[in-house]
Amino acid sequence: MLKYIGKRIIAVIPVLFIVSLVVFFLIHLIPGDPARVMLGDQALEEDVIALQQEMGLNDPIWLQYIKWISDVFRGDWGESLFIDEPMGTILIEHLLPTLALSFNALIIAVVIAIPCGIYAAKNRGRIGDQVLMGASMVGISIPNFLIGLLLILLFAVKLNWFPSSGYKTMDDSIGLHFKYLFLPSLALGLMHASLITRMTRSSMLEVLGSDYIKMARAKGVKENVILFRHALKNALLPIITVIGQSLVSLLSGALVTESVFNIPGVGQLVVTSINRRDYEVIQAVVLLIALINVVVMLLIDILYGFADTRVRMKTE
Amino acid sequence: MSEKTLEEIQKELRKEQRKTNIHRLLHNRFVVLGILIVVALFLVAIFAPVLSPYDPYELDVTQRLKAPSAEHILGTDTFGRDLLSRIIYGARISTYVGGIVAVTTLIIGLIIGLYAGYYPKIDKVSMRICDGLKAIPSILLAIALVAVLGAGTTNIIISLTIVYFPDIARITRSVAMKVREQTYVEALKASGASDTRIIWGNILPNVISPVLVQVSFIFANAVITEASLSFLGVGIPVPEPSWGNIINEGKTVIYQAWWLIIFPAIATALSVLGLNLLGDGLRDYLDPLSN
Amino acid sequence: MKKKKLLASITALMLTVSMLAGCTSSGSDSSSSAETTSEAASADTASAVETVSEDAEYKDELHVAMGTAPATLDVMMGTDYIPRIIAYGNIYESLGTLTSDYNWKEELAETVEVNDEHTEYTYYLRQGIKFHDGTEMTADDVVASMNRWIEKYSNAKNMVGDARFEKVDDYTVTIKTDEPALFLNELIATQSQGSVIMPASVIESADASTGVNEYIGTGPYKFVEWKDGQYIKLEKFEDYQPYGTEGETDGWWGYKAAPTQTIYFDLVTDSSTRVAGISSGEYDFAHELPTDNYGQFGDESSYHIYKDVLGCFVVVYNKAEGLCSNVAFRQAVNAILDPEEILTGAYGSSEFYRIETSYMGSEMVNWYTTAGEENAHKADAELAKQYLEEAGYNGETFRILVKPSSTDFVNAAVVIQQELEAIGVNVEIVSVDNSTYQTYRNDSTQYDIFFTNALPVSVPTIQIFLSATWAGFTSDPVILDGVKEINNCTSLEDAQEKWETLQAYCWTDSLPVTKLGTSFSYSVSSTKVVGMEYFNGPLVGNARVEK
Repeated sequence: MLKYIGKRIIAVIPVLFIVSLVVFFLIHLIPGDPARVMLGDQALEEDVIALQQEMGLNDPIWLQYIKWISDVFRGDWGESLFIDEPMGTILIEHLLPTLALSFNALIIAVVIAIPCGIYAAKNRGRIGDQVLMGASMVGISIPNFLIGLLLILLFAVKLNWFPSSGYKTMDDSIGLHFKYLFLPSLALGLMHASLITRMTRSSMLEVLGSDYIKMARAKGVKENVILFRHALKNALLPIITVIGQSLVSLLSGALVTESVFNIPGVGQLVVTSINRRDYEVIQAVVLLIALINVVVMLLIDILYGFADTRVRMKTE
Repeated sequence: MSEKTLEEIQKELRKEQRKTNIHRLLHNRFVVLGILIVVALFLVAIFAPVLSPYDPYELDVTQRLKAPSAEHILGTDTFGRDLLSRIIYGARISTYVGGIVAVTTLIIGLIIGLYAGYYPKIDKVSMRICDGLKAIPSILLAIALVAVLGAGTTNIIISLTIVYFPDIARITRSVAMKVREQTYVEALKASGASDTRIIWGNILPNVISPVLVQVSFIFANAVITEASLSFLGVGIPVPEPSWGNIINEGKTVIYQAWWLIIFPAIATALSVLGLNLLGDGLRDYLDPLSN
Repeated sequence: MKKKKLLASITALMLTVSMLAGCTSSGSDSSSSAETTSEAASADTASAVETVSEDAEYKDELHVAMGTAPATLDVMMGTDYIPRIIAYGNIYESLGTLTSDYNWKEELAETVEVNDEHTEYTYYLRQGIKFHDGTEMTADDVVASMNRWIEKYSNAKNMVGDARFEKVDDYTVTIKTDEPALFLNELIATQSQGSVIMPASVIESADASTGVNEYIGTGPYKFVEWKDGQYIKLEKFEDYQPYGTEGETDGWWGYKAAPTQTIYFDLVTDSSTRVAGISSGEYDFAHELPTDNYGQFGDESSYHIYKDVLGCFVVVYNKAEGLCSNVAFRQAVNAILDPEEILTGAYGSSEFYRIETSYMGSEMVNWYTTAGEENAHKADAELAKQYLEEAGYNGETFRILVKPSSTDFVNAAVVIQQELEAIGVNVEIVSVDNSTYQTYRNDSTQYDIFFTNALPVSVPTIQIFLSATWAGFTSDPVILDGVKEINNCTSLEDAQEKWETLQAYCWTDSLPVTKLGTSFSYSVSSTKVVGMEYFNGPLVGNARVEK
């Protein structure tokens, strides 16, 4: 097991290396440069050229890559041309709203999904199941920026219950913080609620069909006890896996949701940094997201590996 | 001799299985719904010029932002263009982009996956690249790729292909690896069959089913991502009536013109729903064990 | 007014009380007695505030929602108007500034002397002006700042040649140019690239690629914090030295009382968020709202509307390469363009544009002229076809460069595409993101036309589209020489006459651009905001918000 974990961790390194290559060269291949953005729309060409020279944008690109990647290895993630703060601070400041959004969305998703999934499994094939499965299919099919817009249209524009967009930190006011985060979290959470509902249902069904449960039923254990104490416990593992995978896709879904709701998270940081060609920020953010993705996937794998052997032993 | 009869039995079994599967497929009303939606989507796309009441590009600034009425069933946009006509033409863009991306990812993903599954050396390199690409959030990768290539339908297709081919490649590879280990492939190899023949003649047929299921989901995802990119203003350039474009335009007038968001939203969601239902059905039919 | 007097008397009272306390308490006990007095004083203030609450009370924060995040607040480098709105007049001041009729007026300079040839400018500085870091502004700071400004701004370099500012004494600076520089003061005042005064030490430590490291000026507000993507926070500078007399302002010039303690420039790029935020009261002022929302703010008891010139809407031709390098083709495009249709497409309603042929808008009274208008705004398909034939047009693709973030340009492009296709031109709209757009504009192989809202300027010769080094590549020697001649004039009348001839030549013969009109934008504040003024952007120097 340890050997397996070690192997998996080592396998992460080439993946991150590829990410660094892809990001660096993609970003630098995009036409446009930070000098023009800094000087603005009405800048005269000779002033732009002078600044480009100052910024070192005319160095050979592979030289720039080697300089950057060796800095990263030494723990220096570069600095922003536009934000007067150390890279670590920039990343943390923008990661917090994204994490808050993803976390709230995940909670909403889980709170909706687990009961729905159990209910659907229990009533398999009946109308309730059909409705839930249909609804979850719809939930998966609506792009989350659309869910966001529809929620804005209903709750902010028509009913005026929630602000249409923006973000407040916990420091500003905890109440406001959640008021602002509610619609975006819901927009992001609904899609994942659909995924988790489906997963809960199918893994519950699998467990409910197992000999172990059949035996319990034969022994006359109450249905609710079977459902929650025995079945859910054993179905939890694949559900947790899906939740883990959701976390990864939540992070990338958050990018779009943030732009719909104007939340100053990582997504907005990436989008504005791409717009102003703040190369080192883009590289740092993407590398960080990739790192988070890879680590979460690794943890899920390891967790699954552990639990899987346990589960197998138990059912045998 | 006995081998042949075994094969025949297998064939018959498969036939029967397929029959019951088709029966099950058509019995599931979700799948039927999915098929209906997808067929309708394609029909709308093909017959767009016949179906749309107005020219989707025709400007009439005097008719700006008119609410749905008898004249303009779904209302007009900020240029006074007929929304219904634009949504109908938008179906063309969505099916075109989604369809081509599905085909190109299928071809590229199959080739890479098959060879990676067969040759361990290719596997190491290509799967690391696929892992690397998948580690970057797909919308982000798509934004960057479009920025590099420039906006435009063809470039969107190329970008989405790069974003989605690793999915196909991975599935193909894992199936191909399993098949490669089987004794009959070993036997074929020993009897001198060429690698190309084994890959395309023996491994490919095993891969087709799971890959087709995946392709239908990629079709759906490509429609979503194209809409998202256009919504973010980096997708299909104006004045093309892509659904994402219409919604993006609608967002700026969200307080005045709800119809500019609601109707294209319904069109997008319905199409993706149809494709997803179809994909689910395909999975039940082609790959019943996985469910 | 009433409240102010009251406050003043309270302050006076407090001062006497604390002085008395200071006198009576002697030795070891002094600190504790000081505490008690301050407590007593604050209790006093609280009751005083209660008594005036029937009048108005004011918030100590003002929230201004801006639509674009600035790239930098180093206004000497940036040319965009957003940094200027935030920094100029608040953080920074300049030797001179613009009045509402686009004329020069002294700001940090007490007076200026110019010789008859307009080759020698001497600025006498106001004394006792403090920077936000506490040091006093002297000639050294002015020389360092103005010379950095010249280095960073090609138009300034062209105006003064090799000449640079020099110190005469601690409160006097001068610049001597080889050729007449008639409009040097106007160039300083226009703030296209801010000619602002910073401490010499800040200039010396500036980073060549990212600009100054500290935002320190002499203005009524000092820079506190910039949260990327969220807000820029300014705090009242207590040692600010206002100029002019209280209540008197004109354009950017004038007395700033800075009645609000803290100013937030909230960076809200999404326009519907700004609309929602001004309606909900989250922002006191929202900058540049979408024209389609205009009707929403009709209620005069809840909203003030500030409508102002956005810029000079011009179609800029790529004169270096491709279809538009041919004058006949430019004539064809110029002939077909219908300003009303295009500007309606771009701005929605005639509230937000004014069709105009004068390169300088009618606000710039000194320079308004209709010379050359006989060849403007014809919207004549037959004539356009004739020119097309003359140009030998053969189905080549005509590319309009736009960026999706400027919806007005995108919309204008869609209309022009239709107009041109009607006379048989193949049109493609090239839509790229902002940064790529900036690069493509300066690459003559990438486009045939683009649009710009050229910011209002005080003198026609600094119109960017007449510059040889700006996108569009104006290279007609008649124009370039004409500009130089006007700059080297020694009297305004002379310059005006030459400008009229030049504009006529531009319209009829050269067509560097086609001017369609002047565009307007509007901003909104709640009626609780008093003292806010607007001139090319919100002026918060005298603004406060009722509670």
